[in-house]
Amino acid sequence: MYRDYIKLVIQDIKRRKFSSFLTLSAISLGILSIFVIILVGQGFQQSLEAEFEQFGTNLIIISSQDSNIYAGSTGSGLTSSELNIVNSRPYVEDVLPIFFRMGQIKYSNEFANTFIIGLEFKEDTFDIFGIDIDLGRPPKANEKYSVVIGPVAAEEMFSKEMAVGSNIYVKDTKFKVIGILEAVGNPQDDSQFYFNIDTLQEIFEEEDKIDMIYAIVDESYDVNLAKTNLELLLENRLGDDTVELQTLAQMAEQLNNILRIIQLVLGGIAFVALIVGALGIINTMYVIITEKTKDIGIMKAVGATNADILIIYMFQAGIFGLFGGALGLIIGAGCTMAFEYFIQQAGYTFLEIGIDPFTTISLLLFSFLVGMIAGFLPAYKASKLKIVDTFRK
Amino acid sequence: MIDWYDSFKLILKSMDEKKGRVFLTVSGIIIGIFVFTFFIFVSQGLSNTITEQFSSIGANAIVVQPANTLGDPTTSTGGLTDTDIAKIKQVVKNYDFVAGQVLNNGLFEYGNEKQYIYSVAYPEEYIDDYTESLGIEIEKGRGLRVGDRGVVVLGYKTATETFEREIKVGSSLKIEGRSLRVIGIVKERGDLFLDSSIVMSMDDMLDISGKEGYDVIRVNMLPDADLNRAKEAIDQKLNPNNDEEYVDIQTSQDIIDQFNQILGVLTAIISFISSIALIVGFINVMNTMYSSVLERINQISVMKALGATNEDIRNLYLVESGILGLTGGLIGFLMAYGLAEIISFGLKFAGYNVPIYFGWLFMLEVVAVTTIFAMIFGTYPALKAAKTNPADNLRDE
Repeated sequence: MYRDYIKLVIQDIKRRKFSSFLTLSAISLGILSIFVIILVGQGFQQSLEAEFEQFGTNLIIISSQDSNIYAGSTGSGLTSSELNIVNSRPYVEDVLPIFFRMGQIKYSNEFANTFIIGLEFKEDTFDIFGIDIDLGRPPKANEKYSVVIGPVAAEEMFSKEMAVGSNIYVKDTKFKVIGILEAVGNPQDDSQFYFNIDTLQEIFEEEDKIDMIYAIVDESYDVNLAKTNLELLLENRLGDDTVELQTLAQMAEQLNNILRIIQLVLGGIAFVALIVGALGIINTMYVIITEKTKDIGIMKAVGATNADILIIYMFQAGIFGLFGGALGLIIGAGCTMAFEYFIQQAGYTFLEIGIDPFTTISLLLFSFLVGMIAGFLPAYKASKLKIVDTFRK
Repeated sequence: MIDWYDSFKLILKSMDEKKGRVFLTVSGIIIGIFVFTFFIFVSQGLSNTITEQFSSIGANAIVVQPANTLGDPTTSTGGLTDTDIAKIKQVVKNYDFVAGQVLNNGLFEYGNEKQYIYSVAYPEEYIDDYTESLGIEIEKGRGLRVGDRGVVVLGYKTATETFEREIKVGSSLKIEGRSLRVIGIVKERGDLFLDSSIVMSMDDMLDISGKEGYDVIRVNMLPDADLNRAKEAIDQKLNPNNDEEYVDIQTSQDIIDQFNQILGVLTAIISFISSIALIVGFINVMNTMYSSVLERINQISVMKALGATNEDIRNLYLVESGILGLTGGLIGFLMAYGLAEIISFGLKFAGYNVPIYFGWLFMLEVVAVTTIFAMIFGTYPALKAAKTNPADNLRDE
């Protein structure tokens, strides 16, 4: 039965090749745009999740609210005594203090204004970030004038490339590049400079000031409970609203929410294209039914019920949707891969976009459904034709 | 050559015969144009708002900031001095006034609540210049005067929205352990910065922020001065060394351009995606026209047999496609404008001024472009109609 339906549709498509081609391409454009937007959105979401997983989900980020990357902190925020308190909690496994400012870096008589980060130097400092050292070596705890840099910083920030052993200056203090990190795949993170926090605090004359603490919570404890605990503890010491605590899961959730909104807006606009394509199907179906009035009369004369006719033509419209959808998905997959290629060329190698089978199949079914819905009115009109009328013409 | 009036009647008649199809095809164009122009209206509205806000800050201003503040002066450490002002005055002649200002983002306390608020201070001798060039009007109380200490003037939203309890003239705010009395509230401006800020005296500001110099030097030029030339001169004076930038210099136009550039990128992405619906709409036009050519092949043959030329037939179908585009473009445009106006009206109640302007030229452009595209997509069916061989066709019947 359904094979006959499909045969009928293919006959119609063959008979009116050009017109069918137009109808299919109209639907395919809509499905294509929705497909690409969903896939790119998923790609971003999954790549970000993978990035976050490197840190582990048991990380709490404590940031001082009085910190200002340009002006420095006003002195009411985190210091080494808060760091010690956080570290002394039984549920805290490890802590990493961070200090960051905007500053000027000088290398071979060139200057760059950039973000400068100070970390507690120890052998496993970069393990916490999940970044490997590509060239050189990790810093040692007592090294005051060493710096580890990102690969993009090394290659692109100055006209002369930096290498392990190069010297750079911050506020007239000399630092030696001892390590270059492996690329994490986005140009911002790959352009960072990591110094010893003690040295930076000295040269920025903000001794003991800490802007951020990464606290790693023991796996056997509940991260959210630990967060609430630390929040109470720190606000009791420093005052309300002086620190902000976020678990990594919360940060990931926030980013995901933003991504979802963008996807929804863009997807909504692309959906409009699908609606316009559906109007095309309605039109084509009306034309087909007008052309086939006689056939419908014959079908009815030999016993087809109204419901049969309704189903035949709704199904035919659905097949239009399905074929158009399939076409759109094939071209969409190509577009997605092209997009991935270009964005990776632009330095965002962390982004990986896969063709998700669930999305593909759902959209295929969806395009069939859209076609069916679009076919309802013409099919209904066909089903109501009176046999006498169909022959009178 | 057929008479244009008659052919027009012919087109309308044939459209009338297939009302349903014409309706659906035009609807496609309407939807496409509606979404497309709606977002253009929104982005124009936002761009107007930005331009207006900055022009109220002064269309003739050049703003000098220390380098590496990335455009946000509240984050600078106050590195500019009177020496810098003197240097600027050496190279720029046709200025109205040159004065520094200090900005700070501080934690203010009112009742039991604490909020971060931007505060700003101008040198005493320039308070009037600033007030005038920024177009500041006082709603309640009075403005800041020479010699005022320990008092503040609040932006409209600072007074009404920032804290849960509205702040009245005469109340006090606390910051850094000192108390500041509110002496005035500025009239609502509908902008992003001044409405939510606090103005205080320079002495208080330097005490509170701990800054020792200016964050911004404002060079207000005379109305007919060449801003870019002045900018160039200041750049050469204050940034003599090509390697190391000491200051960032921006004219008010530069700032507006920057915002518009970001907005432009966003608009481009959204326009690109919404133009897909429009393309689909045009494909529908092509399809509809193609179907009607096939259906009317007899009519065309008869017309040709009676002396209509290929060009006549082609033009007939091109005009019909054009009418579909024109109708869809016009209705879609008006609907988009209507919705944009409604949203703009709603936003006004929420306190945001996003004016939408109806442009005859813009409407003309949209309608013309839609019509032309509909005709381009109608070309293939029109040519197909024009090439109909009447003898072949009539023989078949």
